[in-house]
Amino acid sequence: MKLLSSHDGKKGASSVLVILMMVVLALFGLSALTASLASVRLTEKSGEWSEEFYILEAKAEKMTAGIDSILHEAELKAVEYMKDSMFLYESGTILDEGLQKLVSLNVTEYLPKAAREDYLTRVMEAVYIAHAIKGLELAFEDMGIEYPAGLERHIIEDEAVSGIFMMFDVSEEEGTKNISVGIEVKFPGYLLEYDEGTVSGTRITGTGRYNVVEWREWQESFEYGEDIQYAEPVREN
Amino acid sequence: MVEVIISVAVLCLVCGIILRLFVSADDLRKTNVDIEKAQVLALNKMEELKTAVEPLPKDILTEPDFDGSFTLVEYFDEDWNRVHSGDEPTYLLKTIIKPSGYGLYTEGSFGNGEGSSGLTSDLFELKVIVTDRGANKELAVLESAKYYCCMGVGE
Repeated sequence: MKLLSSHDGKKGASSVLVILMMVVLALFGLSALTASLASVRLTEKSGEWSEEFYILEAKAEKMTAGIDSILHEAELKAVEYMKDSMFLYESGTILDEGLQKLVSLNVTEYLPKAAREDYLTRVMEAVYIAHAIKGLELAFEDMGIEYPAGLERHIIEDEAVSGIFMMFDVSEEEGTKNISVGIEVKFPGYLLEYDEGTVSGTRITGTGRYNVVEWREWQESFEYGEDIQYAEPVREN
Repeated sequence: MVEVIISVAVLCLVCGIILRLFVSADDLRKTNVDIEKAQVLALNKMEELKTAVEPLPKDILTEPDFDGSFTLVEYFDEDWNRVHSGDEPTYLLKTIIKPSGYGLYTEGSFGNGEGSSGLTSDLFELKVIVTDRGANKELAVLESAKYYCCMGVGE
């Protein structure tokens, strides 16, 4: 008669246990690898998006530089207007004829001497603004440039009005990432001295010709495709 | 006996593969940490440049390269601590600042006006690169531009 040991029914149980442990460990290993791989992909993707936004920012900065070069030109022309005493002319300047005549009369006859320097500062600002509007409208025809009608007259007459405001968008080629920039044109400011028909001026130190009033980075809404691979977004249209 | 040898061999092979999986996962995690740190470093540097009034502080202004650009290099050890160039750095942060030649200058006064410092404006191309020196691999690269509208004032 064959004697049965109490262990005979459990033969091979340790092998099954070892195999099970191997499978569990392999699953852990695989999931750790997948998670690490996904993290690397996500980090690389996030890096690419930063790169793309910075390239877009470079485009916006170049546009801003283009705008400032027009404003620089306008400032030089306003300085020239003052240096050449063009405020004494009755016409033939950037200001419309009626306004230019009024400036000439105010400086030569109507205004007391003490008030002329302040008045000429406003005239210089108006000339700067007139050149800026002309230059910007010529260079950026399709851009929305907003300013109140008769702005030069309002400035000269010291009436509180809003200035020149312009908005532009830069987009990447596919058009999902965008930057919207709002620029407000401002007069840099000069301290003028009027003496016997000639004007001298000192620029207020460190003032720019514009303010950036809006700088908004945004992305159009999108949906991921079914196969999520941290790939480029699939646009709705 | 042969069965035992085969099963032990298979077991060893499977163990090796599993170990390899964990090692690879750890390597990838380390790579990911390095890329993330490099990106943060590059972003910080770029933002530092973009928020500055001047592209280069006067105390670190160096001679320009042959193409007119300025290159600044910072060194980091394996734990991303700042070190000197002679301390065998593991990572390099290279910043290249190149004026575009767009420069505008505005006089500070006209006529008999009192002298005031003029205003210089220029567009600069900016590039920040973080490199793993050992692997000779670029971990993060950022390129942009900045228009500095009011340089050379306020002194």
